[in-house]
Amino acid sequence: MKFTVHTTSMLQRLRYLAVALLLLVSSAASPQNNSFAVDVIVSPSLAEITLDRSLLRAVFTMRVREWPDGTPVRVFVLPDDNPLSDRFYRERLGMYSYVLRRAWDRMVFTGTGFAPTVVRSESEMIELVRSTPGAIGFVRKRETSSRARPMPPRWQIVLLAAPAHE
Amino acid sequence: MSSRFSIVALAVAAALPTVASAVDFSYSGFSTAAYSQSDTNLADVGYTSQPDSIDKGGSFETDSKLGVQLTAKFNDNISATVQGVAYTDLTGDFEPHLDWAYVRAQATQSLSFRGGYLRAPTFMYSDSVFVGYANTWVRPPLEVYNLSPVYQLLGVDATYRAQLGAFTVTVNPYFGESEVDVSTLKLDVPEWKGLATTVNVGSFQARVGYGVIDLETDSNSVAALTDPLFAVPAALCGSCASEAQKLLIGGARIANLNVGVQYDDGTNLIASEYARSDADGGEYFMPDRYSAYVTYGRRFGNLMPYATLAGTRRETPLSTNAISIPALSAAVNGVIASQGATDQDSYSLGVRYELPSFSVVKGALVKFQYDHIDADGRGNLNNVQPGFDGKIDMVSASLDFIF
Repeated sequence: MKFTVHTTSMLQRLRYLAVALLLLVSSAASPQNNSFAVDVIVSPSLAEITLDRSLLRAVFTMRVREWPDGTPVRVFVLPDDNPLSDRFYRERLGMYSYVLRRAWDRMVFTGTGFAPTVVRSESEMIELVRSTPGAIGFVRKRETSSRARPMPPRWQIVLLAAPAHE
Repeated sequence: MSSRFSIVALAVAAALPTVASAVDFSYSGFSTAAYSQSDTNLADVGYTSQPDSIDKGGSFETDSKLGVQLTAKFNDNISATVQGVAYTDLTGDFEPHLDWAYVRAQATQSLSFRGGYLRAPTFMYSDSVFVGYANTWVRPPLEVYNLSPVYQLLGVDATYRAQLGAFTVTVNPYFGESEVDVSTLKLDVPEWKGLATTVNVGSFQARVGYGVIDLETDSNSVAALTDPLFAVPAALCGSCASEAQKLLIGGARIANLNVGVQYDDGTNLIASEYARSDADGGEYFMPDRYSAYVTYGRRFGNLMPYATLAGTRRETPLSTNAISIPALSAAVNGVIASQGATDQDSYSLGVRYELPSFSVVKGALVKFQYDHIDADGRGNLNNVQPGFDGKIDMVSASLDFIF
């Protein structure tokens, strides 16, 4: 009797373990993880822009002042302690946030440039990038993003629609 | 100095728009709290001629700084910036200084002008050398960064930036004057001009800088030597006048050449500079030298260990036989033997650790650094005493933050 009970318990434990492992594996590749991916967003004025990682890094380190068509570059970022910032800098730029901070502060304290404009939220980021010619920023990837165009395949550039009044 | 302040104040005032509400004010600051200690009292490590720098008794002052910056942005094209920094200057006093005060005009997206108090871009990191958070080391390699006696420029500069395919080219000419108090005298620079050109491509940066400094001084500590040297007829001593000129800082002209490269892919950092200083006059006090360093660092998350090798070599001879009058020759050789830097090598091992930002602190980090210095004679050191064997071991710790 005791033996039977013990076997049932073991089987149950194995089943729980298998389920837990399945959950663990599935969560590693789950849409929840993808939903934390990052999109680069650009203003409607940059319809023809092509961004590779090198240019993206140059833009976010504030070394590029204008786009090829002459539009001034306006960079918007989220606060350094926002997890999305860290993810964007590491995955898209291959840089730690403090390395960028160091580059920006060097410019600020030496008068050779300005740091990006820090916005408080993703919604503010979207609104400012949408309404500012030459603007670029980043937001959490949204499955419903319209007019998404992969280029290059490692990330997506989302061209925001122009504001309604334009 | 007061008249210079007035000029800057007038320039700033002239740039102020009449509608104050249109001005976008911002402030920021940086601070370094550092402590360093070496294993000897027979020589000090510090900036050129700086008294009371780092020795066995330890120093909080040498590398500690506090800077506050206020920027007024009038529109997209005009801004004015004032930066005050408290630091230990070359007289050894820790006190506040007006480090930057300039008006900046962005003429086009590619071209900007600045006027006022600036830091001349003599070396690759000259303009940010006080911002500990922005620098890899506790202090920049002094073999290179001690080559120029002055760093603050009162004048104008222009920055032209061009995008040539994948290359970003920045050209930065500057012109102005300067002055600096060192421990024993006041150096005036009636004319300082130079040009720095930087090329960035991807993670790579290369830079060439060249500047010429004309020096004047309010005192001649070796007049007792230079006056008789000039007075000796050329028929008796053909080289006496030119040797006297090598003892005079006033009237000297220093040319600084700097070549720098940096590679920073976000994980690996390599930075290296070669610099040389050539004096025309005064070279027995500021000898012709060339210096170089290379730094490698690798980031592991918030941690970055780094290592630096540096060296400097003196080209001006340590004695002269050009003076045919024995008494004068002995006296001049005595001065040469006691003044100016000599050869020195060093290596440094350090680690930076980024701390989480909090409240108004945008970034903070701690650094620990070990330096070993091997000097041939005086090396690049201060207050060298008899019996010094040329070797120094030194440890430093700093807390840097920006706000």
